[in-house]
Amino acid sequence: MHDQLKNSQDFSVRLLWNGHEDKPFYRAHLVSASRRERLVDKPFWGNAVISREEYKSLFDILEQRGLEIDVLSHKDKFGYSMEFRTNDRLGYCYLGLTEETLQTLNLMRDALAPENRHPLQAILDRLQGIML
Amino acid sequence: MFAPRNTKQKRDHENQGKSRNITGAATTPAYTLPPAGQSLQRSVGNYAMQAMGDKNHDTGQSLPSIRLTHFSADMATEQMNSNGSFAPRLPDKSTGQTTGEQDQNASLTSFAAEATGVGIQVEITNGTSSADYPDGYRWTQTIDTNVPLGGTTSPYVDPRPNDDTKPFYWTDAEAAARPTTFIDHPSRNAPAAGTTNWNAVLSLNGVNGATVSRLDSLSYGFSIDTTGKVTPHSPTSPGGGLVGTHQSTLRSEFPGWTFN
Repeated sequence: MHDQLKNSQDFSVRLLWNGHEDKPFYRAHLVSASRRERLVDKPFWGNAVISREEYKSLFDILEQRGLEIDVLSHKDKFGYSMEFRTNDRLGYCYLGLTEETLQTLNLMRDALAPENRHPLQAILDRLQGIML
Repeated sequence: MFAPRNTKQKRDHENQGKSRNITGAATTPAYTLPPAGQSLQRSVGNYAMQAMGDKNHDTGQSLPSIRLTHFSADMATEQMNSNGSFAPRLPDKSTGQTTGEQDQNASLTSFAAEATGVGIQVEITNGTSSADYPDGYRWTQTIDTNVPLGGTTSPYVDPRPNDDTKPFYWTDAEAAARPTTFIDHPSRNAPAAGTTNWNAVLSLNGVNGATVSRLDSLSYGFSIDTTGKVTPHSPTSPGGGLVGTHQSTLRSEFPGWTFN
């Protein structure tokens, strides 16, 4: 599952928030160029088209941090989760909302090309000062 | 000359002791509006606002106002027109040529019940610039809920914890990206027992340095029960008590700022 998702050239990654909110937390949608048309400009969403190398680097970070991809969504778990979608696979990785989550998001932001970092940066900016 | 504060003060003086309920009937409030208090134009929908006019008839200069761009939920059903806008109501501000003035107003453009809360979108109309407010028009929102977030107690300034050092809802970067729009999607999970209530007072302010002058406000919110049923609290003009709490909450959390 992990490798099948990772090696796809046609992909979509969403960072999703689940839980209560006042001013909403940001979400992100990162896609391959082949899925560019699926990006929708919505409030509190950051979008970017990323390369396959950037995409694979996200998996590298998950591997480094021991985070696993599941077939079941984490929509009932509080905090952030990632959704990976390809033509024939759908997987989820639960990030939660802890110091480790922020570290993971920072690493992912830095793994992206500078022009593609804004969706992750928006999430991190909104989370600054939050008590974990 | 653009002088919204003077215009508001004159209108407030004329309307002192009166407020209007959601159906437009003038009522006697259970509270006393502060002398400098602002009222909310309850017209909803772009067309309504255009029809009413949005210019200072003396000078032709545009004045700032709020426009709420959606409201669905229960109360909206009968008032929404075929354009998805709301029927105009409560023309409680002077628009006639005889008075020579047109002050701040507001209209609803979006308010909808969502899975675990509500969504709201409000627009400023004619709020692009003013010599009186060189730092522009900015939103403040305070929240009163029995399930506060951010380790705080109600009421508190949204967002909590703050995502910058200013009292405004949007950060400077967010405000630059959406200079005339307020958007919120507050939500709470269904409680294990009882009812969770979430209510907000949203204000449009003119900003000059660290001085924040309230121009217009509305209140809205929702309740969610143990079954997950969401009951929207329809946007309405907040009373003087709510506005006073809004202002005092801002002053308490941002003592280095002046809130008029």
